[in-house]
Amino acid sequence: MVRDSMKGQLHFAPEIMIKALGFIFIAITLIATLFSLQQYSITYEGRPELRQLIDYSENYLSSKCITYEDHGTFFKGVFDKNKLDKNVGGCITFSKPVTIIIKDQKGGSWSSRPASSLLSLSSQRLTYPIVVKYSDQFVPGIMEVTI
Amino acid sequence: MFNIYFLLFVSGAILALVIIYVMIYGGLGVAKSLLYYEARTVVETLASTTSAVASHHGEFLTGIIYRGSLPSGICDLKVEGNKVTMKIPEQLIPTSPTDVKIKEAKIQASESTMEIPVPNYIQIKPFTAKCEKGISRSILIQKQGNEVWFVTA
Repeated sequence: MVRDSMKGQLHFAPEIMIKALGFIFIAITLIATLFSLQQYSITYEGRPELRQLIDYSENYLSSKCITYEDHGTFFKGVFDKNKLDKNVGGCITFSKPVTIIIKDQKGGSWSSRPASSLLSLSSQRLTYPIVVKYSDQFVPGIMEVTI
Repeated sequence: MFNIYFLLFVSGAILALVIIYVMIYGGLGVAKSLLYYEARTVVETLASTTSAVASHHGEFLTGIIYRGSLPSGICDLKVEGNKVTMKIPEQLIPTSPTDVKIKEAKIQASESTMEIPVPNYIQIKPFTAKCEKGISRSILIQKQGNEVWFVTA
């Protein structure tokens, strides 16, 4: 009898404990899973400023008020020097301040903003190869657009 | 004293319900956020395409076909001056903690607006998407001379 009761005691206590521990383990695992589910998030990385800068540049490169014209045809990316001298800012309607810097291989340089204000330029910058039409020749150059 | 199996059953049932609730709640939040950004992307795409059309000389015709999941399609779209605006349905604006963690406060606006950079000699005709015949999913952008206009297709 003593042996039987000892057997019962030996088996009964660990069984409860194992079940309880198992339950605690499962519960902790599930709670941790739920917690990690709550951490799901979406990262949306839009770059509307860069997109608008590209749009602005494309329009600038082809705008009639700055490009070279020959018999009614406007040449995209070919700037008329006389038009640049008059209005390097172009004629694009846009509320954000955009800076245009044009330099050619003949030493010609145009900027839509005064040199002192160029220090506060932001990080969005694009560079395009362009051509400047002088009265007697076409000179390659570079256009830098910054927003 | 309670039976251990009964306790396990009750606890398991509660946990299962909590899991189901969190999954539905979290899933809806993620879906809602995706739709919210989809509305913003539609506006950006239309503004950008219009700008590209405006930069061409002469006649031009192109279109945008929307294959997304916004419940109202592109019905709440408006072009005025050189701005594209789209109303975002109230139920799509992220609010709960399971939604996207929003860094910018302005992103929670109930409408999305995007400016179209165009030369000042280009005239963009005002446009409001009309959806009398059902949900609109495509827009044609047309250019002739210095005029740009939209047609719901």
